Amino acid sequence: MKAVLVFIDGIICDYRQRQPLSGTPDYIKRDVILKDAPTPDSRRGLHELAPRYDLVYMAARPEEARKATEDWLAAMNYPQGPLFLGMTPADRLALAPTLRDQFEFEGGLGTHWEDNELHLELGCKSIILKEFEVDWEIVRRYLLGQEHTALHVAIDLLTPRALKITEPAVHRVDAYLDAGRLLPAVKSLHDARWGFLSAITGLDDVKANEIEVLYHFCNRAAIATLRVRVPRDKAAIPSICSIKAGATFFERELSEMFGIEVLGTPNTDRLFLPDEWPTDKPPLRKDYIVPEPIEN
Amino acid sequence: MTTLEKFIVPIGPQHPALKEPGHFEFTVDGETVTAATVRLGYVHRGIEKATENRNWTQNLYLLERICGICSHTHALCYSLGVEALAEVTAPPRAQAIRSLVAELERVHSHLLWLGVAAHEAGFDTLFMYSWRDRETIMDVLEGLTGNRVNYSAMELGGVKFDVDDKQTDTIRRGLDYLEERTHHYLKVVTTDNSFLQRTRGVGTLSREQAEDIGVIGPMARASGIARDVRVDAPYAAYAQFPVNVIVEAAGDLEARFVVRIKELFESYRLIREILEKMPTGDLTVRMPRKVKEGETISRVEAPRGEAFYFIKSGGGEKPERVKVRTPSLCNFTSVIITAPGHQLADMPMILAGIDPCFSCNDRMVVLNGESVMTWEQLRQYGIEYYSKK
Repeated sequence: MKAVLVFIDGIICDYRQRQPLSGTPDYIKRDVILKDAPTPDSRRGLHELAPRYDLVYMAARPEEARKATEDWLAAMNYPQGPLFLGMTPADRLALAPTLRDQFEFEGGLGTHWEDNELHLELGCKSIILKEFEVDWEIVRRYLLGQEHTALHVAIDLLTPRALKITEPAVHRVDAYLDAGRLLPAVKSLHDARWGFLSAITGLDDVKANEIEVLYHFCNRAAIATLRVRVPRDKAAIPSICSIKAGATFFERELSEMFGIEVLGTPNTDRLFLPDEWPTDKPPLRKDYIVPEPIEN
Repeated sequence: MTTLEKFIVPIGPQHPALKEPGHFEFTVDGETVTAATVRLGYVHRGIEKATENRNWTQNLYLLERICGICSHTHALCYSLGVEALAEVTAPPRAQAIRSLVAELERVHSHLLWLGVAAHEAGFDTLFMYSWRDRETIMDVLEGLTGNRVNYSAMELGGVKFDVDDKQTDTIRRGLDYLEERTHHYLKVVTTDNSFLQRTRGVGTLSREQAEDIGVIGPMARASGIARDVRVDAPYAAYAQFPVNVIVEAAGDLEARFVVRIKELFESYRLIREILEKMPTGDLTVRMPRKVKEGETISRVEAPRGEAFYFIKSGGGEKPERVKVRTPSLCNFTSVIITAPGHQLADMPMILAGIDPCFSCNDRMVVLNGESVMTWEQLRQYGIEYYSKK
């Protein structure tokens, strides 16, 4: 298996909280280091790389900080891998022959041009990323290839739960689900931090005597739509608010416009329709005919 | 006060703080807000239902009227969707003009918001200045399209008007003036002490919260999420004229001010670049009367964040369904979540911070000295105008 060199500081570790201590011995004290935050999405990013590559960690820290750094990696639940330390770019460059002997590198992740020099020395792809704000899509593109772009991650997540999966357009995937599978499907997207819930659409299908509810998730260019059909009479669908708290307004809108009971939604007050609107006349159902306006 | 007794302060639908009808109920413990609820719909016009009874072209005009501030956003998002269904692509020059108007609209919207938010903070001088300067961009839009708010720049398959050299000069002059003013505003909102007391550390939305709720637009970008449809899924001419995303990490009201003001600079840069490298060619392509059966999703970065359209065609002259999700609906949730723990007096600012969609008032303009027409005369004029075209 090929290896990927991961520079800890700035790529996966946000050490800015202890920067004021820089230059003092406290800077590399164990309990101070353990308070460092993981950078956004870095855990998921490395866990996606781990099945395909050996991960080799590198940090600009002295030998005294080795134990604390290893403990931090373990505490933050990063994949396991050997740790190399070098305080200056020159120190790290000096490690290149050792690294080359032990591993065959496919790529290296760094934040500065000095990292690029080391990567060249290792003869691998050099991926230089923005410090503390790593765009893991870039890493995926260069190290995992097309099959791991966001859309395919969604397909992998939804396939075990869907009746049918289609790709109706570029960057789009539609997953047809049973109502019972809605929550596990939403949860799988949520747990993978796949995009955000952008909208819930209702479609009244009079011919089939069903209402189709569409949950649109957007992740950059990719859009994953979960499609669930419910009978028009006694229409009911489970609420996804326990997973996606932000869905509450969408569910209230869906409920009053299509006459669907959203089971377990935290707030069932009217959001858009007037208080006096009859409950048996959901306006966006096709059989609701808009009365002719009264001309003056 | 014991926690057994709840005291609820109802605000709205008509109230002094917001220019938009919305009803809020804040549960308070003393001055501190402990919970919040919202009731919308006072200006719900049933537009989604109405689209099902109108043909594809009529809907363009209807949907443009969803919002008086980001009218072009809606017309653009709808057109992109319908064009995708009809498998029609507008020519490059039309796409560039679409992006141009979209950026001009963003400038007007952000300046409008700056004024409203300053007013909520009790800083009426800033409100007056920013709205005075906003007139520059309103005049540009009026000169370009003939309208101050519902620009009607769009046509299915293209745009309605061209941009000539004289207009280009006017826009450039306007931008030079605004750029200078915007530098001043950025300085004011980041250095004025009394103003910072209303914004710094107020209404903070962490990156994690923002991710969880799924906030969009400047709200997301002020919480450290680089989310912008213009970059993530470029439409119109944004692939040729790339946008630099402005991101701030703090997540408080100050960050929202900084993000929106810095986005103004980015819009000025984009507008200049579009004017400089405007592609040549046609303004429209032919659009079929009936649109092929199918479904499509289109997304446009409105000044407030991503606008989302789902359009379904049954193959006829009218859509089967048009679903519109405007950015404010996504962002309202953040108010409910950030409100608890804040002082009641901070609520107007936190609300204004998401830039909820206010209606802006139109005014009547008599163009080119022509007289005012009756409805019948206008209709006749329209029929003659298009039969000559």
